[in-house]
Amino acid sequence: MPDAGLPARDDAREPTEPSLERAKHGSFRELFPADELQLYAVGTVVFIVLAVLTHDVVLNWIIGPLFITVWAWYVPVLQARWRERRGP
Amino acid sequence: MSWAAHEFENFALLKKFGVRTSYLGLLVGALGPDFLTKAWTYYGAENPAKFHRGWPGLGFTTSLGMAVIAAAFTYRVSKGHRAWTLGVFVGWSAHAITDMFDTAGAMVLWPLWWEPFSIGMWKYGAGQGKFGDAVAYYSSLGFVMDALALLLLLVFAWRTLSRDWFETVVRPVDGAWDWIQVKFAMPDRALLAFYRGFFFYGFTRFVSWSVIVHAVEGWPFDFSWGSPFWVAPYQPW
Repeated sequence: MPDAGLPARDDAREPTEPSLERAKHGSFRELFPADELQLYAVGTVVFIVLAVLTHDVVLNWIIGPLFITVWAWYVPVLQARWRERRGP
Repeated sequence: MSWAAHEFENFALLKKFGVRTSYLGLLVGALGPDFLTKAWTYYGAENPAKFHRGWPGLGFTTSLGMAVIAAAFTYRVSKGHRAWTLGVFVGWSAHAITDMFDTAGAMVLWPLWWEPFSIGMWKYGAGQGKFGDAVAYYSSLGFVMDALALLLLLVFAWRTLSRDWFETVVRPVDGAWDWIQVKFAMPDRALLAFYRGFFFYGFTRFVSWSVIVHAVEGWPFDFSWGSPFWVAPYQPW
C-alpha cells in the first residue's frame, strides 16, 4: 500500500521488492542491475570530463551530488520520450 | 586534510552501525568541521593551518569534543532522535580522526588537550590556495589515503550502495528521506541517486583531481612520508 502523501513509486525498472536478506547477502548482479550501472557509468564519465575541462568549477559539495541526482532522475525520462518519438 | 576519504568513510561507517545510525546524520557530521571553517581557511586566514587546526583559531571544531557538542545539539533539535544523534557524533569524530593524518593534525582531544595531534603522513597544503592544496594532496600520500578508503569501501561496504540496503536499512530509520521525496516530488530512482550522491562526488573528485594534477598539469607523485617535497611545512603551534 503506498504511503499517504508520497509520490507514486517508480518501480518500472525495479520489479522486485527491496529485501534485507538480499541487501546483506545478495550478489553484485542482484544488487546492481545492468541498466542502472550503465546510467551511472555514463553520468560519471560526463561529470569527470566536465570537471577536467572546467578545472574544479563543478567539483564541490553541492554540484557533485546534485548532478547525479538530476542525471538519474531525468535521463531515463528523456530516453523514454526519445523511444516514444522513434516509434515501434 | 583529507579529501574524498571523508565521503567514502561514511559508507563504511554505515556498514558498521547499520540501523543504529542515520546516513544523513553521518553526512552532516562528516561535513560539519569543514563547513564551519573551509571558506575562511582558503580565502581569509593569514596562517591557514593555525586558523583551521590550531588555537587561537577554529581548530577546536575538528575534535571529538566538538563531535559531542554537535551530537548534543542534534539530540535537542531532533527531540531525541538517536540515529541522527549517533550519526552526527560518529561522522564528526571520523572526520577529526582522519584529519590527524596530515602535518597540521587535529585538536582531537579538545577541550581536554589543546594541542593538535599529527601523524604527518602528508603536508597540510591549504596555504597554497585551493588549487595548490589539491596539487599537494593528490601528489602525496593523501592520494594513497583516498585510494585506500575507496578500496576498503569497494571491498567491505559495497552493498551499502545498493537499492536494497537503502530501502531496508537506511530509509526506515530516518523519516527525513520521506520528507525529501515528498518535498521535491522525487521518484525512487532520484532519491536513491541522492543517497549515492556523496559516493559519486567522492569518486569523481578523486579521479578528476588526479587527472587534472598529473595528466593535465604534469605534477609528479611524491609518496615519501610528509610529502610532497615542494610544500613548505606549516606549523600551527
